[in-house]
Amino acid sequence: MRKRRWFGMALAAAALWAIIMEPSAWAKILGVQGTSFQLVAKQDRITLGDGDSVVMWGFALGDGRMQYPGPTLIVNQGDTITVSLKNALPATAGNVSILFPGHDVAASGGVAGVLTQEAPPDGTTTVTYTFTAGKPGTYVYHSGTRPDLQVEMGLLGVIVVRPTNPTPNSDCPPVPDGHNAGPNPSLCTGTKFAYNHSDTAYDREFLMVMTDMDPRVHRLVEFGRMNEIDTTSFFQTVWFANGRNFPDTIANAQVPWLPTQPYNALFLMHPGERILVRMATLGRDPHPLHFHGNHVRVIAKDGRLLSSSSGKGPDLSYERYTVVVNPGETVDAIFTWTGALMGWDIYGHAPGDDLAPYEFVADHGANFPVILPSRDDVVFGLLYSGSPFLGGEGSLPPEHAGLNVGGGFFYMWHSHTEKELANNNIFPGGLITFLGVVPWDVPLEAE
Amino acid sequence: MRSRTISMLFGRACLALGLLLAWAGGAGAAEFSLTAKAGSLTLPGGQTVPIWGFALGNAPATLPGPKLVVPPGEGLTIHLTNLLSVPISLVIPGQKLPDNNAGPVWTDWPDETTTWSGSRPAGNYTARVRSFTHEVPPGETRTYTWSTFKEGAFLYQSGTNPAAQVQMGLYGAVVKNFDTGQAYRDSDTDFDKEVLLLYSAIDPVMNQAIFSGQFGPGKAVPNTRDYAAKYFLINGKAWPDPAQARINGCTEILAGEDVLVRFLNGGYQTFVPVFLGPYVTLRAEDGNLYPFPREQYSLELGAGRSVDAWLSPGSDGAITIYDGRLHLTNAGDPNPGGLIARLQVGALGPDTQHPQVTNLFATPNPTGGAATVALTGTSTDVATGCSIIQAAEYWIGSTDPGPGSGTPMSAADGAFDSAEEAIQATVDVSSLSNGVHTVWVRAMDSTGWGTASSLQLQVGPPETVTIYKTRYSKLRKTLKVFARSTAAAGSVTLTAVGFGDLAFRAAKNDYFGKFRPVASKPATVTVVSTGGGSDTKPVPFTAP
Repeated sequence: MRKRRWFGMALAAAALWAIIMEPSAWAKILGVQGTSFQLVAKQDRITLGDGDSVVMWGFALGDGRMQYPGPTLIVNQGDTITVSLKNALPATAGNVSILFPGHDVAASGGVAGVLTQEAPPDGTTTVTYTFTAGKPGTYVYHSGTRPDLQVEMGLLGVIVVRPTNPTPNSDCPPVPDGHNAGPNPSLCTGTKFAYNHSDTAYDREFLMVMTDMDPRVHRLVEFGRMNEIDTTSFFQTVWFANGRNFPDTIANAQVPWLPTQPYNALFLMHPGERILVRMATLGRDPHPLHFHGNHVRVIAKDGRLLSSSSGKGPDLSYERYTVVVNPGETVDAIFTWTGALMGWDIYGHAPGDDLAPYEFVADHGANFPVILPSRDDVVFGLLYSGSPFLGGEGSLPPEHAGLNVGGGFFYMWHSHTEKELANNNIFPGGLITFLGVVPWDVPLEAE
Repeated sequence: MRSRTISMLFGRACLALGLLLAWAGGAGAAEFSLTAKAGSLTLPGGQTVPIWGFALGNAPATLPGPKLVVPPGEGLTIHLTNLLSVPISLVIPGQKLPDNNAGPVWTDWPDETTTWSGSRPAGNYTARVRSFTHEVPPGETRTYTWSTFKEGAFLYQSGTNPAAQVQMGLYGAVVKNFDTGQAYRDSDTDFDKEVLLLYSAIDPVMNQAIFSGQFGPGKAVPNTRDYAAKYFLINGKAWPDPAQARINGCTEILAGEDVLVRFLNGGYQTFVPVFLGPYVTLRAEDGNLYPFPREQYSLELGAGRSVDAWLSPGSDGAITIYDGRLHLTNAGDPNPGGLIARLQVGALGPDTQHPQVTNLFATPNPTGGAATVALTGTSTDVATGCSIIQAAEYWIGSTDPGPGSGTPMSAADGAFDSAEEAIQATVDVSSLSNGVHTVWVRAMDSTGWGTASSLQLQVGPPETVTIYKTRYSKLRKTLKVFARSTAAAGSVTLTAVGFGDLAFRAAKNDYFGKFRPVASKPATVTVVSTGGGSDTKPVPFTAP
């Protein structure tokens, strides 16, 4: 368990924070479930973290607006998946197509391209891609037509394939050695499996699609200066988690002011829960994703369990505090946190108090290691609850926004290529997001 | 080009023991003669860029250099001839340094007039390392010996100023398997077919600057900071070159076979080859087996790296490999380009065409008084049906002795067992009259003997090369070199060391080269001939 001074992580997100704390659709992967999907490539705009607005090409669900990243397709193992594609982009965009790395695809309709069948920009021609979602895991899809431009422009997305067995149950997370028992089972989300093995169990899952952007390309597209685009001179200045830059990454999902960027990247959990982080990178560069709070256990790559042989589960899994996902690849990792081995009682208990769910017993009642300074002697970060303890809510100065009403611990998760923590050179921004650990009495939405 | 000669190196007592041990095991050494020289690479779209490349014998330089295969159990000996204007050397990352290396070469930068080998010269705190191992000075030949050689696929490359010389093209693949059809000692590494994909990238600005002497401190391109690749190549070519549509060439891949796809990266950036559709099993990296294989549809191919992937195609058809980092353009062109290649799975159709013979060379030519010449060439059925070459033969003169009745040539690798074979023969020319003789060579596959190719062999006394004029224009940054050879008209290739080949002009019976841009006037220019002659003259110079 890595120790982090959580209150050092508070970064400016004032306007958004009040909305974050609404109970809403944030603690799960948003997407569209089914076996048949109608995607339409459209031109629209997104908003960058520095306030800029850039032209994008992206996938829309049918008559909906294009979104960045494209709709997350959530399917079940063994299903035959059909994705039909129409191209409603401007004529200058040319043809569009979709590649599904990791799947054996039959493509029909449209015109033949180098990598697959393509849809011309007529808005009507339909190309159909059919494949069997043979194995569970996290996969990507992206344009297979001039990908060096069209992926940059936003024609990308993720596929989640759910395993056939075993089925979800209502279990609480297991109790690690040296920890108190879990909460009332009614508070638990139930155990799900990422793959067909009990060692891939998780309680909550999140998506982390990492992309990069050279806004100059988007301006050239907007102004029709297509012949000036040279994708070999790509120089990215903006970086995205799930299609947003910080601080938008931690705003709520589906907020009305980001209509084409519906996904957020705020990770939320209760102590002891196991969260599955489904990572994918699309674009030019890998963005080494650095986890604060704890190491993650990498269990799968490219939708394949890290397994020495069938049935052994992720026995070749490994722990990392930074995970590199190369463009075009996916990595699944499981993260958990209880606050163990801090050396002090994170709940601020007195020795005779009741134990919290999944509390690390050895530290129960242990004193906070420093004497807290007077409230008048310090400057409070925006995510400080007024108390250093999980679930604590101390008094705050009157001018403080009081954003952390649940008394959560917040850990920054970010690209370890530190230059990517900026929106066009403005820090903080880019590929930053947060994990929030909130006490069990703060409800999180069920999966 | 391989012969089972034992390396001749015995100069250093401390190394001799290691060699003796190698001998005790009965290991021979694959032996190659490489030449480093200037050349050009035609890029997609027709642009050419100057390169420095390796070549086997007198062949033109290629990027990447020729693939060298070290047979199971053997070591490696390379005789390296340097026809460039700068010193070069040879290293193989992943292998130990050559047995006969004498330590790094230091120089008194920036003048580079004095060099030291081994440790930093005592009391000198300004010398810099120029080469990782012993150098080949311009115009000379040195030998590099590895008495033992680790299994795997590796890059051999220049160990001198590699930031400049490697991107110029001084690299190639060298492969050694543990046994026939088995890559490593682990029996899981067996394979039915083997395909090599060597990735690289070209920044034409950098190549031009290095070639023309405009690279270095204080010059137009002072260093590699602004290196920006525009072209991305697999095995020296980019999509849509026809070769990329069948990157396995004549290697017939059948459904159900285990195919070892070896990836190497000679470029300066990471690529992420993605197999579109199938998964592959990654078993080894940089010649080291993973503890457990990894099943992925992609792999990380860092600069200088080697990754071995096993593919088991389930059915006939094309398997596309593209770059996950999207280097899928040729210099920004909107059409598909760059790192796209296809493996074609399926039986080759019936062969109805005979094999061809290309790259014919005789060394020395002109004979320069030699009693024998080495006749080398390539017999290939790659473009004519992909049958295995079964035999090759030559004859001299206008009388065809009839198919199968010529003098047999041997396969350079010891066996006629593939659709493309380097062929060789030692030709006794002692009884030939002085003058030009035509040497004919043809090869045979299962369809029969192919049409013969020929070369002109100049038999005669030693060749003399004379540079009779050199000119340099500061205004046009142009160097002109005029030379003559006593060899038969046009029978030799003259190369201005460091600049490139001279063209034969029949009307004037001379050889002429115009090289630009050349940033500053060279003090001298050296011309070497494939006939053995050479000459060095100052610039400018006019024969009296």
